[in-house]
Formats: sequence, C-alpha cells, structure tokens
Amino acid sequence: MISENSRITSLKVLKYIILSLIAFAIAVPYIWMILSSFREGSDIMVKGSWIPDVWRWQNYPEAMAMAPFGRFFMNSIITSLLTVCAQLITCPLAGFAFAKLDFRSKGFLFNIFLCTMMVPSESTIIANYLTMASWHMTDTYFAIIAPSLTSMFAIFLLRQFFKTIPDALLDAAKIDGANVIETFLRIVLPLAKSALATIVIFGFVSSWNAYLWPTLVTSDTYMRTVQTGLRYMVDPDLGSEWPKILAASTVIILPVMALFVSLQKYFVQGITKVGLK
Amino acid sequence: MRSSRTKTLHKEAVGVAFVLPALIPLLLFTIYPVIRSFILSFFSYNMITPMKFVGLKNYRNLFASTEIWDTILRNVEYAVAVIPITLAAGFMLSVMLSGKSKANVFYRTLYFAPHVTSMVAMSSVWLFIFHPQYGALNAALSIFGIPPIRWLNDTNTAFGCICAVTIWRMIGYDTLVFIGGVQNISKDVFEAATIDGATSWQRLRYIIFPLVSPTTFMLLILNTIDVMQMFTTINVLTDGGPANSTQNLVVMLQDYAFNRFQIGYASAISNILFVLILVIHIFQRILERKVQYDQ
Repeated sequence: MISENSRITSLKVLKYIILSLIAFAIAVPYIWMILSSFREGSDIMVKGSWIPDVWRWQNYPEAMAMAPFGRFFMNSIITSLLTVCAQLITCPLAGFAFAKLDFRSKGFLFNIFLCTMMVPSESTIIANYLTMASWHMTDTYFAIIAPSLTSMFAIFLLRQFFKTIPDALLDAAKIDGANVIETFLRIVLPLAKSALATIVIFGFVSSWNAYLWPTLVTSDTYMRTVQTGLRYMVDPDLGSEWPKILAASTVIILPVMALFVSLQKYFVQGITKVGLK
Repeated sequence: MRSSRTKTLHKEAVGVAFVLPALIPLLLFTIYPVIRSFILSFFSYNMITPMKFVGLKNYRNLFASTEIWDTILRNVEYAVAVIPITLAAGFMLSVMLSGKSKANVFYRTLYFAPHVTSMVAMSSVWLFIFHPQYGALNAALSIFGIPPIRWLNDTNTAFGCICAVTIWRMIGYDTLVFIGGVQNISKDVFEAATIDGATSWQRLRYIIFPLVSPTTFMLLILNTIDVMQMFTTINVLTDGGPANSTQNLVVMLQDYAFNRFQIGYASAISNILFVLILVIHIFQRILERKVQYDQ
C-alpha cells in the first residue's frame, strides 16, 4: 500500500515536471521579449545572462516615437471596435434566424453560409483588393474591416446557443403580443450575454491581430494598424534598434494579453463549444 | 387559404430580413471573390493595362513550373512535420490537464497564450531569437561550444524553424480542444473501468483515446487547414526564402499578386489553394457521414 502511494506521488511529480518544462518552453519567447526590451542597444549581444545589465525604460517611449504609433493604436482600436459592432449586428440576427425562425429558404440560405466556411480568406484577397481599388476605398477603415463584417464562427456559436432556448419561452412572448423583433431584443439577447461576450472577445482579438489584409489595403502610413506598423519596423539587420522593436512588440500584445488573462473562461468557451459543434 | 399564404410570405420576409445583414457581406467579400478569382485566372492583368484574355495559359505556365509543385509539396511537408507533434502533445497534455484544479487552469491558459497573441509581434521575437549574431538560440548553443548557425538563412534549417514556431503556436489550441473532448466522456465509463480494475494506461489506451477520436479527426482537419493558410509566421521570419524553401501557397500568391502584379497568374494560384482546402472539407464531410459517432 505504501509503495502504491509513493508510486502515485512520483507519477504526480513527473507529471508536474513535464507540464512545467512545456510551460517554460511556451513562455520563453515572452520572458525573453520583456527582458530584452529593456536592454541597451550596445548590450544587444546576449552574452550568458538574460538579465539586462542596465534597465533602460526609455526604450518604450523611444520605440513609440520611431513611428506614428499613437496613430497606429488609434487605427487598430477603431477598426477592432467597428468589427465588433458590425458582428454584433450581423451575427446574432442570422444565428437567431437559423436557430429559431421558420421560413422556406432557411435550408438553402444555411447551406450558402456553410459553403462560405470552406473558402479560405487568403484566396479572396486578390479579388477583394480589386473591389476596394475600384470603389476607391483603399486606405479607409471600411476597407480594413470589410472582410470581417460578419463571422461564421460567431453565427455558429450563437446558433448553438439560441437552439437551447426553449420554444415555450418564445411562444409565451408571442401570446403576450410581442413581435419577432421585440422577442429577439428583450428576451433572446439578454439570455445570450455570455455567448455575446465570447464573440465580442474573439472578434476584437482576431481584428487586433489581423495582418495580411490590413497590410494590403493600406499604403498610407497613417492608415496602418499596429500589426502593419510593427512589421514595417522589423528588419533582421536592425542592430542596436532591436530592444526597441521588442518594446513595441510588448506594447502591441499587451491589450490582448490583458483581455485574455482576465476573461480566460470566454476564450475557453469559444474554443471548446464551436470546436466540438 | 389566403391568410395562410400571406402568413408564409410574412415568415419568409422576416427570416430573410434577419439573415440579410450577414448575407450581404458574405456575398460581396466571400462568394463574389471566388467567382472573380475564377474569371481572373483566365486573363493576363497587371492592374495598369487592360485585362487580356489568355485562356488556360496561366494554368499551363503554372503547372509547367517547378515552383508550384515545390510549393504544394512544402505545404504537405509543413502539415506532416507539425501536425503529428501538435496532436500527440495536445492529447497527452489534455489528459494531464482535464481536471479543474487551479494549477491546471494556469497551465492551460499559459499554453493557449501563443494562439491569441499577435503573430507579427511574436514572430518578430522569434526572428530575434534565431538571429545569427544577437539571437538567444546561438548564445545558448555557444555554451556547448556550438558555432553560430544562420538559422533562417540556411535552406537546411529555415523550414525547421518555421515548423518549431508553428508547433509552439498550435499546441495550446489542440490541448484545449482535446480537453473539451476528454471532459465530454461520461463519468460512468471511467467508474466502470475503475471497478473492472483498469490501470491508468489501459484507461488511456482503451477508453480515452478511442472516445476522443472524433476530436482527433476534427483537429487533424482544422490543423491542416490552419497550416495551409499560414502566412504571418513565414512572412516575418523568412518571407518564403531562402531559395523558396519555406514558401507555401499563400506566400506565393501574395508575392505574385502584390510584388510582381501578375494578377491572373496569382489568381490561378489562389484557385489552387481554394480547391485544395475545398477537397479537405469534402473529405471531412464524407468521412463524418461514414463514421456515425454516437454522442
């Protein structure tokens, strides 16, 4: 019995050793990014120690001054919020229609939506770029958010959720004289708070992190988002400017990291619910 | 009779009105581009001079080039190098982390972080880690007397570097999805197994592993598509080089369209990407229909 217990304990220890080693491997780039972001430019050759000789806090303001980062941040915040707002209009409506409304073209429309899930966004960039160019809309916020005005991920998540609302509840509202829109706004949406929070977070994060499309449709420096702005600064031959690039990287991932750490359960919910259908 | 017809019409109008705000952007920015890319691929176009119909020339040139075959092969190599590792690691980690203790939540959160943090920022960090002069990796290796390696400039190592970063990014995601799968397994099954005296290894091998196989299959598909759509990591670390050794279809199509302005040719590449991903989706549908999961 004692040997059995000690076997279990040693297995547990082994388990936590493995988990911690992997945790370290995952965390290394973050740790290293933050530590090196305080280095002095001349101290850039990493010799043994990871800890900077001198902690140079000025790297942060100096990094922000290397490019119009204030403007980049504003662009990113505006486009991310606009994306979230657009998805909050388009996705709950469609999700509700597919979950609870009864109309003849529902099956047909749902199949169209399903088919669009199979289209990789990367294969639409050329045509979408030409569309934006012909509308003379490159270098606008609309161009940056256009491909993410709606999200199949969000529609699916909400549809799953709305399906769990009992029909009796909706019928009761109908008997009380509420029309579809009133029922949707007053009964359905308040019930869906946590699902809505999930799609807001995912919409915001994916928009904040978007890179390929915003880079293509912006040529004006002042329309760049933080991702595009950072990318234009990164160059392997930067030499002593590297710590500042790492400072800028730290600042850029900060908002998402804060969201992620404080709202971890919504991220998990989004991944596991949609992932498992 | 009449009232029932107006009622159906009314229902139809309401239903379509609810779907419309999502349908319009999908039509404009997802469905129309598919049609337009298909048409564009039969033309020669550089965004300045008018389009010229060239028939199948773009495809003929494309398939006659070695570049496209190498790039498709590279796509497959990315999938083969990355996915078995992320799936195996994700599965093992999910078994260790399926409980809801504080420590488990901490590890899960940490593992998942690379999936949500900007890949432009994190790839820049990796670029610096791999840097031949300043990089942490060469600095660490020098302790063991290993001379500096030009990780991203060498055709032998660049591909491996991108795979490593991709594995780093995907492991936490796979773990999280697997945890969902493990938690879905009914408690009764475990209890029955414990009563029957199953060892932990037997539980893992004969209960958990087969019961999460739908999750494994779904992740296999999701990861494959993810790898095929990968752009940011490659763009920041190598931009497809050296000598195209890390180039996938997305990097190639972006290069031809927006650096060389060969829109027709690039559209042909983008259609190949579209068709390959479509084939994976169809394959998934067929298999899912064949295997009747009882959940």
